[in-house]
Amino acid sequence: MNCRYVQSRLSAYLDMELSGAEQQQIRSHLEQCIECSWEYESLRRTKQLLRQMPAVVPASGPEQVLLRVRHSTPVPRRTAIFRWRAPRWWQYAGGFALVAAFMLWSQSEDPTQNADALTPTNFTASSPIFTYPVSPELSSAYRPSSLFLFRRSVNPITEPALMPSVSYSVDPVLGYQPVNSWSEVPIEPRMVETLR
Amino acid sequence: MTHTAVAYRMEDRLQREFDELVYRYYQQAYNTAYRLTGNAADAEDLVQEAFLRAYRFFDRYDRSMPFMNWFNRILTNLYIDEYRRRGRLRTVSIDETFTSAEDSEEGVALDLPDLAPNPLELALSKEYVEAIHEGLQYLSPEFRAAVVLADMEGYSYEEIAEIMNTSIGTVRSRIHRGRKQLRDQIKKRHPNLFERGDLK
Repeated sequence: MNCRYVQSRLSAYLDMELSGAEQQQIRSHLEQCIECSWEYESLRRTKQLLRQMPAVVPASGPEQVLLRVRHSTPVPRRTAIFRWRAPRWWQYAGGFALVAAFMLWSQSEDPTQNADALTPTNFTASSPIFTYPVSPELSSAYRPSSLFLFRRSVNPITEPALMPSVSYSVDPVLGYQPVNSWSEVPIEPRMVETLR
Repeated sequence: MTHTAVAYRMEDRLQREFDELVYRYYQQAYNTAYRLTGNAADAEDLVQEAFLRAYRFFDRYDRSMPFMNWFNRILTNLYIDEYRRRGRLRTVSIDETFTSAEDSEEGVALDLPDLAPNPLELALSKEYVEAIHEGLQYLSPEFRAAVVLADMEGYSYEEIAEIMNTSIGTVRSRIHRGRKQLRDQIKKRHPNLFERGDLK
C-alpha cells in the first residue's frame, strides 16, 4: 500500500466511510508513515475547526419566510391523473393534429351553401365557418368582449341593467323568427340573516 | 361535509405542518445558507427562496425522509444553480476584513490534538472563525457544499450523495479535495494551527 493511495482516502478514513478492512489497512499504514500521519492530522484539524464554528444568528426570523409563503401560490394538490404529462414531442404532435383536423374540416365546408344565410348584419365575418347572422347589438362590433354583453345602466338606482334576451315570434311566411330584445336583469334574492 | 370543505381542511393541515417546520428549522437552515453564501444578505435570500420552493413542492415531500435532508437538497441545488448563474461572483462583505496572522503569534496556537476527546470546551477565537469562513469562500460551490454538509451538518456520505444528487464516489472526492483546499487557505493565514509538533 503506497502513500498516494492512502492519502487519497484519508478524508474517508477520517469520516469512517471506508470498509472495515480498508479502515484497518490505513490505520496500520499511518502507524508506520510519518508523512501520511501529518497529512491525516492536518485534515483532522480542519474537520475539527469546521465542527467548532459557532452558529450565526439571523437578522430576521422565520416570520419573514412565512409572510412570503402566505403571498405565494398555495400548495398544489394534485391527483394521480394530473401528475402524468405527455412527453414534449407528443404534446406538439397532439397540437399539430388538432390544427390539421380543424383545417381539413373548415375546407370541407362549402362557403357558397351558406350564401343565403349571410346577411348585412354580419359583423364578425372573418372566415366562412365563423359567419352566422346575429343582431348588430349582440355582435362583437358592439361589445368589446363577452364580459360587456350586459348593458350596464348609467344610474343603477333609477334604471335597471339590461341583458340580451331572445324570443321567437311566429311569422306566417318564415315560421319562427328570433327577436332580440333587452330585458331587465333579475335582482338576486337577498340573503336575510335572522336570529334563531 | 362538502368536497371543498375537505380540501380546505387538508390545506389547513399542510399549512400548519409547514409552518411548524419553518419555525423549527429556520435557524439551522440559515446557518447552512450563511456558510454557503458567505454573507448575511445572500444567506437570507437563499433561505427564503428555499423555503418558498419547499412550500411549493410540499406535496411531493416524502415523509419517510427527514425534512432537513429534503430541504437541504433544495437549498444546496438552489445555491449551486444561483452561483453558476451569477458567473462565479465572489461576494465578501467589507466588515469581514482580515487580521494578519502575525499578531496572533504569541502562543495562541491551539493545541488541537489535546482537545480531541472534548472539543466542546474550545471556543474559537474571532480570527480563526474569520479565517475558516473566508477559507470556505475560496472553494468551488460543489466542494464547499460537500464540506459544509459533512463537517458542519454532520451528514453521512450517502446522505450527501442523495442531497447533491451524485454518487458516493463523487462526494468522497469533493469532500477530500474541499478539505485539502480549505486547509491550505487557513494555513496561509494561521500557519500555527497546522504546525508540526509531536504526534500522539
